[in-house]
Amino acid sequence: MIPHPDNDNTDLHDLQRGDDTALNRLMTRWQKPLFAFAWRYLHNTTDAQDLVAEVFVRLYQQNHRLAPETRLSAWLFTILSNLCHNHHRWRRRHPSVSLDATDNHDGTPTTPLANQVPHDSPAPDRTLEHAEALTAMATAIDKLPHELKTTLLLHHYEHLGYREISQITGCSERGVETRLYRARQYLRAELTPFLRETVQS
Amino acid sequence: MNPPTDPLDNLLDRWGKSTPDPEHLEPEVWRRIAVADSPDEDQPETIPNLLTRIKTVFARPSFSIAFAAACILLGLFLTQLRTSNRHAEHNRQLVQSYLRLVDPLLQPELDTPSKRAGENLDALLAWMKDDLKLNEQQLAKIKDVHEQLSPRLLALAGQVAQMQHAYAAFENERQSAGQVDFLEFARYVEQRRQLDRECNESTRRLIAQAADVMTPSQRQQYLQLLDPALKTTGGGSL
Repeated sequence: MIPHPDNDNTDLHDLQRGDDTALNRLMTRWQKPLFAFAWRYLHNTTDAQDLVAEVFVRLYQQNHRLAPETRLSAWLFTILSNLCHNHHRWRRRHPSVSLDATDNHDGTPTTPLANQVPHDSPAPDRTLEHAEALTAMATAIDKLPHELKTTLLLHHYEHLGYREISQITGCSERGVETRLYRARQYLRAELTPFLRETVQS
Repeated sequence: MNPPTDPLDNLLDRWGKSTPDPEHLEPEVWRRIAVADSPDEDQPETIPNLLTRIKTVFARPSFSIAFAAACILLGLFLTQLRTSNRHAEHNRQLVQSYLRLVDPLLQPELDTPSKRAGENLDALLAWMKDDLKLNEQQLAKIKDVHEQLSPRLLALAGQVAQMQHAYAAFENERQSAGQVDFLEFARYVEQRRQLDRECNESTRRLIAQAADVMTPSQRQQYLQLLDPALKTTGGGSL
């Protein structure tokens, strides 16, 4: 659920006037969607929290440069997606083992173990298939190019429209549509066996 | 009737639900803001900090303009200094050349004194005209003085050369025979003293006659130019 832009503009105005508590209100409102985006992009809790905190620090430091009518959600996601892109490239050049994920043998991240532990699952085989599908999804999304990944995550999980995504990614609405189509085609190709099981189940 | 759900969306939704909840970021955000607002003064100056400071200082138009102006002025000053040094060195060389021209004791160093003297006179008089700001009349008179005394100076220079050859012969005899005819050498020394006096007298006369043509300020400058050079060449003070 995307917060209402009017609240953002009010808080931004307060922040620009020197009311620091406005930043707390913005953090309360935006840290969850921003963290979710960063986590889905990076598959790492620590890195995601670090980058989201950095976004709010930049918001505080640069708030005077923002016009009062700035769409804050677009600004926040633009900064965060750029930070995620840079961090992802840096991590590819400096590989390390994530504490959040199990080793997948090919270096790709996997779903955290905590999320693979069955709760109410009736059958262990179904649970295992479920975990495999999620791992494959994480791997496929991780392999997506930055533009396609950002577009897909913003559209599917943050429910942003083409116009807002175009502002964040800096391309046309038509370009957003094309990127979304290509991202989905790529995922379909990568996840074919799991999609079949999903239909069957 | 609802359209059939895309299996990919189902899978995306299932994966999306696995997202963990974030910790409260407020303390960390405010800590970072506080750190950024108050840099540690005890921290040693690093190159990035220094570059940032330089960048900040040069971002001010007034400072960058003042810096550019200072650089231009420094460049002009250094150029002027270099030109001045070159001019002084050139002047020194010209004074030495002039002294060789007017002092017979220095002329034997040259291969063909008479030829060199003719070549140098015009050039040196041109320098004197520029440096001392002589007018055409003064220049003509000074040239006349030099040309009148030039044969005498050349003759003295020839004698000096002969005396130097004679001295070389004495030295050669001393080394080969181990003895010298002291009476003859005493006559040589007396002749050489006499010749040196005549040379100095001729040089002084030429310089004095040239100085007479000049105004007092030109004369003072002319003698100031020659005095140190004459002292170093053994001609004595004017």
